[in-house]
Amino acid sequence: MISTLAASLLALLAPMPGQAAPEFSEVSAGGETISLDQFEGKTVVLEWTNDGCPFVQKHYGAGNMQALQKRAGAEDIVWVQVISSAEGKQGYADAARATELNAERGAEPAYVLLDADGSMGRAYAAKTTPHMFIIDGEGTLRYNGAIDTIPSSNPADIKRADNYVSTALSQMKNGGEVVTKVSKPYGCSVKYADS
Amino acid sequence: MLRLLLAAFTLFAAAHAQTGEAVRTGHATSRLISEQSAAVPGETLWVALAQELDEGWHVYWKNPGDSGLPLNLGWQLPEGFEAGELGYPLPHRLPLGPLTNFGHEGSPTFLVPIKVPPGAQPGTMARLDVFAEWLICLDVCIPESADLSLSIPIAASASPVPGQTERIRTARSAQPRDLGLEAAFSEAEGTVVLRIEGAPEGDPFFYPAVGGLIEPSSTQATLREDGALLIALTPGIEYEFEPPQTLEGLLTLAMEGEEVGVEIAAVRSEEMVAAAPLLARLNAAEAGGGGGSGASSASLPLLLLFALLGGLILNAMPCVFPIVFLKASSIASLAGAERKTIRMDAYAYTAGVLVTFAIMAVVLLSLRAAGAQLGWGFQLQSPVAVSILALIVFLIGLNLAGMFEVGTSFQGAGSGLAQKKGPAGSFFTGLLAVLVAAPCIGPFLGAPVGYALTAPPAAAMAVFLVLGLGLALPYLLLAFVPSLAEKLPRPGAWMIRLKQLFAFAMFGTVVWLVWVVSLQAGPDAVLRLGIAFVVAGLAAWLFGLAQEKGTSLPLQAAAALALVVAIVPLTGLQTAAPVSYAGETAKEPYDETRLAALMEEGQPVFIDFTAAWCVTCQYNKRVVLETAEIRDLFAQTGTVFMVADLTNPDPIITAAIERQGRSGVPLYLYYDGTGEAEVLPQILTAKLMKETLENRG
Repeated sequence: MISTLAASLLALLAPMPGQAAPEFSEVSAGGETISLDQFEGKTVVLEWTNDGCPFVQKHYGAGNMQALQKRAGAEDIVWVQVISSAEGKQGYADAARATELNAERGAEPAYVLLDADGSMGRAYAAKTTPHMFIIDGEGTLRYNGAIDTIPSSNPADIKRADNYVSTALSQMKNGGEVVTKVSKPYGCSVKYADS
Repeated sequence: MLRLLLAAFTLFAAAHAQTGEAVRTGHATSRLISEQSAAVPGETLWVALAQELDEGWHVYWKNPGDSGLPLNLGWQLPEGFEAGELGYPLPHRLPLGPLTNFGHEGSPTFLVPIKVPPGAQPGTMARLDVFAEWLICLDVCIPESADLSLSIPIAASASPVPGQTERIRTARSAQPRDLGLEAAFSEAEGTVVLRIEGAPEGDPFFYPAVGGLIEPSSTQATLREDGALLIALTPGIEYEFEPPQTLEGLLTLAMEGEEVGVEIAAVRSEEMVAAAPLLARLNAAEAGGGGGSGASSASLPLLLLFALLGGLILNAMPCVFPIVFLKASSIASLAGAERKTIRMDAYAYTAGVLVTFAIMAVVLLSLRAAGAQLGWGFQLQSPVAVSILALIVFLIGLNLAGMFEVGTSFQGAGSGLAQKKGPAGSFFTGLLAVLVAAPCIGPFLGAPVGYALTAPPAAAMAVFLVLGLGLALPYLLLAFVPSLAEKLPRPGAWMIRLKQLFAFAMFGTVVWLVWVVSLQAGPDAVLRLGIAFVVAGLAAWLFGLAQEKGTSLPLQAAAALALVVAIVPLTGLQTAAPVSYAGETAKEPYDETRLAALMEEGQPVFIDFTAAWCVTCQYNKRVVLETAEIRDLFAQTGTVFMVADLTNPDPIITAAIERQGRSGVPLYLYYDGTGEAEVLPQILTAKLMKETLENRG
């Protein structure tokens, strides 16, 4: 048992759909401390982001991410952006910068969490920007993976791709199982502090 | 004049045709290159996307790891042309905080085979266009893309393109190989254990072909047991969610800075591929640890018998001749000596042989345990070792010629009659015999030595020692069978003449060794070695003078100093770029992709695993392979002649030799066109070559 742990020490342990999503408690751009348990009864979407990353720019530039956020807002789904870039690394943002960025691109997440120490990112084993997670009202992880089916940085591919997140949200809304529960996320690596 | 101009123009145009224009994007320069000067209808044209990346930036392997994107190529080719599967270089691990990517830095070469349709019209040009997209990252990532194009003439025949051909062939020879290794995997206690049967030597790492199944950043504990390689992997989220039925990927094996890749297609096993205690050891082991080894099933006593016979026959191998001369001269000097002295001498020689075999076996086995891909005869792969050996043989030659004496010399140097080499001299002769004989592995030695290299250390040592015993056996017989010793001729003035004659055998050996050094390290090395000979000759002369004067310390000191001065410049010798194998028959360098292609075409292929330092190889080359008769035979039968040159270390060739259960050159393989390999004897004859090449099918 201990030896197994030793072998996996370096790798992040990814949370599995079907299991309880890792707890988190982070300060948002609005200055509040946000934790998972306060959203009991609501579906929560986590979106890891980095504004300098071409893959993030692909989905914001085409308005894809904003559309998803808007839809979530309308359906009483809590959309949470997480920035795990360490200070000095690409994508790092303080509260003012994070708010300004979302204003510029017309993004409407419920919260932006500032995770410069990477603790939340590591708890979720967030690997890329974007990397998406969906948690249901009981705190169970329902989806862990990519935003859509075509790993590329080309905005033209968005239309051709199937969006995992919107599909999963629809399936959950209809009371069903999420069919695709895991996928390999694509994008830039999360710019964690050097370990 | 006009024709000359036209020819020059054609050449100029041709020289530019096989290189596409280089396109500079933000952090990379990319261009298309082609292996051949022209596209030949009906054949495969190898092209490549050759990139030069900015320092520190990387692009991605087909499985990019935790993040990143692989190269994407969209071809636009003329009618009938078809682009094959993209061949990536071997990946490297690129750690980034807690994440790890698989990718390429520096100057990656991405290979693409292009099928040229049989109907392509010679005399016209083919334009190959590709839209290439890739993600290039430092720690930040930038998507880049370029439209690249290459115009190449269509012609009935093609020739290599300087620089490019080599780059493409190097890239191709580095492609992962399908060795047909059996592999299985299962999971236990949160660990996936991959078991690969018969994996070659080297420090292993498993790169999964697709992402999500295996965590890229986890360390991989490894263990070798019963001829199998076990690797502990950490499952990725997709594996955890639903274990796959197959696990495909690339196993890289590193040795001495070189690396080979082997394709792995593992099947999920219902049973555990590793027992619990083993699993614990796997997990506990540091990544890259583990050193057990498996042995083949051949019976040890039989192999020991072969080793003894092999050692005995080694005495008759061309490379040991000089030592046989040396030994003969020492035996001649024993003529008429007491039984006791003869016996003493035989023991000393045997001890020299055995000790040297033991030392070399220990060095070889420990180097291999440390992951070095070496075969028997490895000591002659270093130009430093070869040149120092040449110097020693040169000094022995001078000694035999009478310039100075060695060992316990009697009073009155120069009378010579009473000169006897002491036991120390015999011990030294034994040592030299092994050093020189080692690369010359005879027909009986292939199996035992091949076995020894994979056997447990104790069995391996036994094989090597029995081999040495065989080599020393004739001289031991002299000691134990008195009637033989009595047949030795009476001593006399003839002995000095004989010794002087044997000096020429030594100088002959020196010539061979100089030639080996010239191939290994180039003309400069030969110059250094020549100077070393002159200085060492001076040292020998000074030493001889000192002996004439009784004992003269200043002279001896000067001699020692001169010897040091002779050796020092040799230690700096370095292996030069591989030399082309000189010869008359049209030959191709060893290339496993090309070999596979030839197999598919049903072409018979003959492969010569050789090295400049292998005398038996040179013997076969001169006596059989390079003759007009055999040259014609190759031409008539359409047999392709491939040369796998092991003059300098080459892990790919070493691995190929080991796949045949052998450990050294010479090795001759014949593929009859149906893909069946036949191992030919290590001593070739024209008759045998004729029978082999003509009776195919």
